[in-house]
Amino acid sequence: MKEITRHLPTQGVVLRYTNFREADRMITLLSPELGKISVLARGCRKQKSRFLSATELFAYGDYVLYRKGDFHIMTQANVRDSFYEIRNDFNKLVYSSYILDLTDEVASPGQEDYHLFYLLLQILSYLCYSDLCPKDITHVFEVKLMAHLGYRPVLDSCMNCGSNSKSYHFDVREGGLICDDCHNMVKRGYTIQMGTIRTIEHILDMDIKRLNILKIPAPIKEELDRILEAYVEERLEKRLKTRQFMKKISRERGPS
Amino acid sequence: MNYYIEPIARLVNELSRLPGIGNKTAQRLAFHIINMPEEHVKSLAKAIDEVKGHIKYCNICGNISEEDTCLICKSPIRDQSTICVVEDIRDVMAMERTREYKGLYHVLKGTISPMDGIGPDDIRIKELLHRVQDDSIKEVIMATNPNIEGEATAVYISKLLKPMGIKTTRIAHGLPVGGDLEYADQVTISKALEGRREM
Repeated sequence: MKEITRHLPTQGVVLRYTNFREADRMITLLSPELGKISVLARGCRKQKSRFLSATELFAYGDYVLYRKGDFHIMTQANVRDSFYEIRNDFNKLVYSSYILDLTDEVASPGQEDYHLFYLLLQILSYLCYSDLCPKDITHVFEVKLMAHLGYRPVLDSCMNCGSNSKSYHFDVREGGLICDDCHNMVKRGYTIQMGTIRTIEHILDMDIKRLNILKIPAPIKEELDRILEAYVEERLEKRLKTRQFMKKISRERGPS
Repeated sequence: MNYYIEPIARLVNELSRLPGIGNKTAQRLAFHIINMPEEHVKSLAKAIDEVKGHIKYCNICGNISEEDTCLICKSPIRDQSTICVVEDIRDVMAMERTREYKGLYHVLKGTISPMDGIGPDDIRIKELLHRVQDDSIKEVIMATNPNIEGEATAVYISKLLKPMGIKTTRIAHGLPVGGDLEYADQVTISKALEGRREM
């Protein structure tokens, strides 16, 4: 029986690529309508290929894909933004790579997700075009992403006993705050200052368009970094290579 | 594979380890080798054996060489004040094919790639910084590939070299010779415009 073939126009952001054969590349594209998809770009590494810049990491553009069964082949591509400035700043590149890696990890194949797509685009725009600290932008992405995936942390009272306390710990396994008494009982959880709790609450309720006025003090930034790293790792059930790399670079260069 | 006799099966198996060679191609090559004159087969086997045994990496630039120092680094007629930084040994060959460049090289053996966990300490940047401490070096040309990783590496190195007062240049970006403006993407055209020169 002849297989049905279709041309699919879609927007997309390149999350990952793998080179193969002489000049081909298999890219992982995040599309708002199609979710995460693998796309074959034939001959895209040739000097004169019209797909050359459309298959680079971070490339955001309009793509036309030819679907044959589970397979997608790139037939047209027009880059809207290549986020060129990211490559001119090593720090920005490190944090942006982690953002792509994390998105690749959580995006579902073949499942539409407009929210994730536009969140990624906005975060990449801030990383590329703003002077904000890349670490702060990354923390905003982590908090917003976890909430979007259904892991919004519980921050109003103790998750175990429901009591209101003056000091809390953050339990990454439960996904929220626990009071000192419960912390002594379960023997787990990260120390968290009230300022850090307020910052996470503020990020959760904040419109991402207001990210440019966000200021996170250095001690809160460090605490947030430690807690979010553990929280994301717990939810993903894996440690991302790019997160480890980010940590290593941050340690070598001192706090940013 | 048990329908082949042992020597052929082993040859097919070895050939199929090469990049781009699948089982079918390996079989075709193996049967071609069987039909080749004996002296050609011996010459091929000797060339493969020698390439691994005799090739070293130049202790100055990291290029492949038969001796500890490569012919380019040893050459008295090359411009000793210019270093061209490339990602890979194949890029040295590509530059040499132009016959335009007469300076020295530095092979990084990779590029910075956070996605692959490759950082500045994993490629030969320290060796480059050590080389440029020599006062005779006047210019460093960054000839890494114009992709994300190549650009990031070039920018990273240029930021390290700037305080040392060494002129650091980047190879030009733009339209390929014989290309078509209509099919070029906006990044390439904007870079070509940025790098335009007077005629």
